[in-house]
Amino acid sequence: MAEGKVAAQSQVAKRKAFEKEALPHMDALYRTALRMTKNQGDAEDLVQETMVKAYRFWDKFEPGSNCRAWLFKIMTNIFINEYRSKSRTPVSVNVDEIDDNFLYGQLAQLPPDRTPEDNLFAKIFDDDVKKAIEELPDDFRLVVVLSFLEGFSYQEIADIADLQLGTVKSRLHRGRKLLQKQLYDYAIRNGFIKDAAT
Amino acid sequence: MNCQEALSLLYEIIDKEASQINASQVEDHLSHCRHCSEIYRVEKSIHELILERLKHDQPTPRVEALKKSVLGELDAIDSKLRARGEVGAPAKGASFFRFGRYLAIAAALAVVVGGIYFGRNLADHSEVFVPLEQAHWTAVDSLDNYRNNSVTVAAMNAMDRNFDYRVEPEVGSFVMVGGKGEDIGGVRIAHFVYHNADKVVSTFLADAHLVAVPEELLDDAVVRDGVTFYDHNCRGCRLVYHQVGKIMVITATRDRDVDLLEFIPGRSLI
Repeated sequence: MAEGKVAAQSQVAKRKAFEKEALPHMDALYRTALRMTKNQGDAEDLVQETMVKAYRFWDKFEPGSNCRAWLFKIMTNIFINEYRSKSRTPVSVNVDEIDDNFLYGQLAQLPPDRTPEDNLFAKIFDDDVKKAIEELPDDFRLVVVLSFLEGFSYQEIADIADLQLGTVKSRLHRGRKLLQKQLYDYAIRNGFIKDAAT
Repeated sequence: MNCQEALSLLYEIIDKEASQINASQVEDHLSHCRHCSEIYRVEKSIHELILERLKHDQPTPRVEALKKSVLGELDAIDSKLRARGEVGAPAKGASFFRFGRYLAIAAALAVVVGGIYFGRNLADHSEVFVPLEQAHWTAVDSLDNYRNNSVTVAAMNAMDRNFDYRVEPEVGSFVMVGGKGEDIGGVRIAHFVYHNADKVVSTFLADAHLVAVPEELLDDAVVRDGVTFYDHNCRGCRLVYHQVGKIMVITATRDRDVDLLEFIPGRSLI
């Protein structure tokens, strides 16, 4: 039947387009999924579910628009719906009690023998940063990861996470404060720097 | 520009989100303010440190295996679609929903093909509306049957996963009691129940391939805010159909003063 043939052809074309446009973004999706779910099994499930959903709704993707952002939107949506409650981080610090430019404030009080941040930075490693990011509450972690790790703009993050632009800015700001506090506490605990207050 | 203004733009500058005007004003301020320029310097290097440390976060090896598994899933979807004959075969035995699969083209072609597809399958009135009305009445009498939270969440997730339809927990002044999957007229339908004081609204969600707008409503479409509604009002129970993507949304109520055209129980997010 002619109609069936046309349909089969469009199915092949769809698959081709999807593999060309969407598949290359899996590395980035997995990288973010790992930071969001904090474990490989969940991250793999999340990415797999994202790709399957993207394929099923491929007709909603506008050719020529930003496929990467579209895929992240789908993944964020699934994460918020299905994974967030499983991995809720207890918020142990009240963000608003942390000063703006927290690290600067702490470092500025150290003896001025070197540029203050050198002591700290020389000893902070990849895993320390990853851990600090994973300790952020979900809402902050999401915008921090999308911005820092994936380089999305504020507006793109707003679209992906279905948030107001102002909310993106404030969460990113608060996420940064928490991150700085965590890196600082970590450096103190490990004796990289001495607490300015003591 | 004073210090406070310059510092309020700190992260927008670092993230390259500030306007050109703001950026040059900040630059101007930093050139003569040691305090602020020191903060900018440290904050920038903290940001660069974090980005630098994150750069090594490339878990590529695992992704290759994952890609294979995703491609396998896509094969499964493709072959299922092929088996279904692409357009979606009519669900066997789905009595009153059997013309559903044609709805997507029905809007445009209803007049032309109506005689072919709908004409010979004309369902009896009772087949089309009564099962939905009954499901709503039953829910009104036994709201507690819908209060299971994990069942409700699972049903909401299923709608999102399968149809990209986010069911809202609150619709206007109505709050969701809960929801679950039900077998209505031989078709699997998600049934969510909302209430507001003693008023109750049911929302039925089903695959638009399986559940169609009944033919007799097609002539009475009401368009509001770009959405086309099909309104059925008789015997004290009102049913309103509208389609969102691949999902058929049917709202039902017995309460006359509830405007179902204003009752939008969810939206598409992709």
